[in-house]
Amino acid sequence: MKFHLLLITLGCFLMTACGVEKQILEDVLIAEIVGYDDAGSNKIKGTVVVSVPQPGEESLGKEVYEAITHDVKAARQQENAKTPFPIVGGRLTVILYGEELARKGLNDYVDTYRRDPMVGRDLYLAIVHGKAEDLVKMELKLIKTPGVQVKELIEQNIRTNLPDVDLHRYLYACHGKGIDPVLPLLETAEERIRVKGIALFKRDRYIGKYIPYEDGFLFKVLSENFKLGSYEIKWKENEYTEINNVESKVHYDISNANQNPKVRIEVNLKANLLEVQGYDLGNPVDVKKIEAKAEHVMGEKLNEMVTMFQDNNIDPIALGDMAKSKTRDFNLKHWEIAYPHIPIEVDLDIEMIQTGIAE
Amino acid sequence: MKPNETKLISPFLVFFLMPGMQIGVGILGFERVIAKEAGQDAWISVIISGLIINILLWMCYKILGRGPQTLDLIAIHQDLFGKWVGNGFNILFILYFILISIIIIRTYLEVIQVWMFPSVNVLMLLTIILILVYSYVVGGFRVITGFCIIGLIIGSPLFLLNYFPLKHAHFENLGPFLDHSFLEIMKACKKMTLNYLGFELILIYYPFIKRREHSQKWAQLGVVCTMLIYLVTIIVSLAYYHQEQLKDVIWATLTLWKIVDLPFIERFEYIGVSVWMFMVLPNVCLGIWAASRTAKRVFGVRQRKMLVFILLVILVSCFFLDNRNKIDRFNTLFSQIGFYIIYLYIPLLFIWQSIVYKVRGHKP
Repeated sequence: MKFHLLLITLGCFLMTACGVEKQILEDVLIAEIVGYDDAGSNKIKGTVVVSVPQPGEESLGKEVYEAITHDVKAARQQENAKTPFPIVGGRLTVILYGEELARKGLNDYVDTYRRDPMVGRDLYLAIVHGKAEDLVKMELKLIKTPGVQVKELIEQNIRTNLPDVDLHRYLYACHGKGIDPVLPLLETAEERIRVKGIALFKRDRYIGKYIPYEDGFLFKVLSENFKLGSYEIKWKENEYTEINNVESKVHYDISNANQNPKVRIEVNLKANLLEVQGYDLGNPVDVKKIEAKAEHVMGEKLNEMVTMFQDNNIDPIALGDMAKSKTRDFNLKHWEIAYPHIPIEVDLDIEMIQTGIAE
Repeated sequence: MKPNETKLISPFLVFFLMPGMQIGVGILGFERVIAKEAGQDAWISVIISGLIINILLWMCYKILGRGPQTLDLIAIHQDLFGKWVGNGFNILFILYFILISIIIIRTYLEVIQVWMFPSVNVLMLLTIILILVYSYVVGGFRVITGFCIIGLIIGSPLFLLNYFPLKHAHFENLGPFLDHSFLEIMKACKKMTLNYLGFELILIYYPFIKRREHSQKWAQLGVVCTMLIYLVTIIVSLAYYHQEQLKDVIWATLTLWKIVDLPFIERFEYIGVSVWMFMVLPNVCLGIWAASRTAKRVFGVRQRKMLVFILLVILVSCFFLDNRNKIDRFNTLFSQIGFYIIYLYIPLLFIWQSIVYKVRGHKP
């Protein structure tokens, strides 16, 4: 009896494969980057880079496919019409959106990735200045290593100048109230892909403004605690100083959020100096001077940035969300109305802790 | 009717039976439901309902410990309400245990369908699972207990996965503390009930515990352990998701595993779902065992025959639950039934028994 039962159970285990679609690695095309562009009259153009398995020990080849359809899933179907094997999205690493499409709102085009259980969460979204298609095609020309260039580019810059944005962060900011998402803005420049800056959003719409790459560091200082990156300060004509971030911490102080909100952002930046023109770093007085000057210059920039957010009525630093978590019976409507006029004070404190290994 | 000495389990094993039965498919997605009611205060509801379960468990032990002949629910029903009415209640409980099993199995199969293999043949998979269940339940209560422990041991590493979302956590999301009304928190408690169901099986397997009177502390500890697991899960989810975002994530815990980033595996949730089978199967086994055991005691038929019959009923019923909507509605309905059984029926039984025993002048 027991033996029979064992046989039946084993037999059933062998049959479990029934009804499940097989996906053999050699027989699928793995999508790596997808780009979407506005193609007019409610249509979008999807461009996808897939890696094509090749015989022998050679590394993977890559190919581009395109399709124009009404929605994202249909685009994949259309692309399949041209490919020898089905395209699968399980290892997608970057999704790019053209500027025009982003201005119309991304929700419809992100939704499918939010629902699809095949898709991971450490997936980067980015906006392309111009057409996403061009950038996707650029990827083909840049193949040197097996990795995906765009992904590595974003990943590398997230440590210094880009806020930490993956699919999860985007969804977090997009669905949350009192918080607006940001995405990296990329562009193609002379046969290379380059980070142009940080694209600013109102809900899921790109507002057409961005923070330039150099100031990305300042935005990062405002929005999160991190440990890398550097910022260049201009003293006078032809005199510059590079401040290297060792550890940056930010603290938000929001008072009276339901009546007359007031915001104070305290930034503590521990930095080291490696290059100064026109000062003597061995002299403590000079270091103090540099600190004061840097605080002044950067503080002004930070204030400008915050004012710019208020003028555009966007909240990429999530002040509204912060206020909500610190206020009882938070009145979101009131906050949203008041937000553009709230006095926001940025208090920057720079401390030079090292000046390199030479006196 | 006392089981043979060789079929008994040690009292401390009840500690594993509690979470083994309580933690099932619910934990994969309970966050959305309770966060909808109580927002960032949802974790308070998890604690409150956990403590209420402790009290109810104490009541169960009181009910069970009063008479020397009434060691399980079946005997208690017959003792308190007479043979016919008592058996009527018993039959209702058989249905309830079958429902528990159906809901667990079907929800788990749905997870497999949605997350791993959309085109899987559900009937086939179900048949295989039921054959597995059969082989365990036939082995008797001790085998099932062992399986519960193994399930917990295999499943517990998944708990460590909480480390990964913590890197993205916004703990400020938990503030402001107690910003929801008492009513909202209580509503969330009610929604939380479904996830704590399963402890009431003690009413059936109590006679199988050695030195049963001493097992209470282990049972209580087991319930506390369940509560802690839920508590950590809800706190991590609240910190990881934005509240508005959480409202439309159906399987929040599973989606959380998507962020797990290990060098040797791209998509961890596939492993998670597969390993979770070891948490789900003991659940189902216990549920079906309880149903067949009750049926055996009521109808006086051999347990194995009842078992086959119950498995067939489950097979057929899953045939009718074929889409997300039906499953969701079934879940909600069951949550209601479970709510009334544990919050209303158990205390009522407790009180009714006290009254009857007082009238009879019975001494414990």
